[in-house]
Amino acid sequence: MVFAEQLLHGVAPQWQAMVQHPFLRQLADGTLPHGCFEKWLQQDYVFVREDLGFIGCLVARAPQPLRRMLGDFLPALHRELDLFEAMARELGVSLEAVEPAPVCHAYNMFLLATVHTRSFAESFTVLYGAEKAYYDSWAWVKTHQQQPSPYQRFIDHWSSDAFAAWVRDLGHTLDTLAARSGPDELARMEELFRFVVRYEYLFWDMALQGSEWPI
Amino acid sequence: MTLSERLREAALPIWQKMLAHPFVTELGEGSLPGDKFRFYMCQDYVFLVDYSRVLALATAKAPDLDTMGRFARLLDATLNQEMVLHREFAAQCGLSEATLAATTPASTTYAYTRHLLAVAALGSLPEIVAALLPCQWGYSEIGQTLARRGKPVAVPFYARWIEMYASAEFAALVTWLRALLDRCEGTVPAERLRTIFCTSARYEYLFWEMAYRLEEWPLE
Repeated sequence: MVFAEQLLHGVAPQWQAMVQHPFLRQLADGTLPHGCFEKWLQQDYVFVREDLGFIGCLVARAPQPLRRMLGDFLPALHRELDLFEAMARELGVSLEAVEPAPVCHAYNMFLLATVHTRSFAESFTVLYGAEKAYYDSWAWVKTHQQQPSPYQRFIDHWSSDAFAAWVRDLGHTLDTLAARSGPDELARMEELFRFVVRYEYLFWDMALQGSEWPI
Repeated sequence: MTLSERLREAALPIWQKMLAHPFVTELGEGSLPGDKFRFYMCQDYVFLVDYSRVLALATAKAPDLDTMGRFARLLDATLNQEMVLHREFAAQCGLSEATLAATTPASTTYAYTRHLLAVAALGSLPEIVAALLPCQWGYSEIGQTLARRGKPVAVPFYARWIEMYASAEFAALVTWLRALLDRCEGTVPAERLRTIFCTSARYEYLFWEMAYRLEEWPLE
């Protein structure tokens, strides 16, 4: 993974801060205040629902050999939504009429704007960043948790070997795409990757700080 | 009430705060600190780049030649005239073209332009107009309100900025956009247009807030 690793290397301090965000630390040591996970659950549900649109557009723009790999991600997202709904029922959290928090809205619109106005390789970079961020964050929780968590199914889902393999495949595909990209496009891919880290960090932040619009 | 009037009514609490934002009032009084205005100029420049892309998408989605032509002229005016003026104006404020071009969008600028681009790429023309309108309409009202209060003669940049947006030409553009949206009434669910319009109005307020606070991304 030449280019994929280069991307991570370029944002190393921010990536570290994101993976060890206080939300994830508190999730791992069992000190997360009541209501924070629930707020995150609601917002991430809204996020994944909108993410279906991003992936759909990415499938449409993909070169033929990648269509199937990306197309298979749509039913995987449906299963994630099922997992959210089951967890919400268990926790007594409503997923009805959730207003997207500013960061949730901004992140979703970022994905949609990228896939419509940037190249396929640039859009794929953003997908890789979002999935890699998820795996690294949840895997960090998994290896640092002190006791079983009430949210164990979520932790296990995104730190699983199957999810790790999917993220690894995305990294290899990204390297193949990057090998055909010129220096200007590679620079734009790096820039977009920085935005992914910012949004991922701010998304965890929202779960602790609040999901309200300032106006 | 027309559709555009109802949308403005729905966003009224946000709208009023936008008109009364300290960035706006201090700009009108001439007391706005220069670093805040320069920050705004840089962010507005990167905003205009993506705003032009949105106008191009509106041109592509316009249903008839007349509307296509109007959006194409607006795109040309923005990309090839307003941005040139912006560069000249910025140079007078001590900002080089290189500084403008190297600006990293602040989080509000980026979120606002991503919202506009996503609506423009996925939505139909009435949705695009609903997304664009708070910017045009808000600037027109701000320009006219500040001009009525008396321009800050001591700070020529601010006075020129106010003149530009208080102009009859700018008001005519708002009238055209509103009429275009009003004619589309019923083609898109009103709730959808309200959400888009109010989101853009929120970002208009937040844009002033961003410049006033010299907003930065976390971790940087």
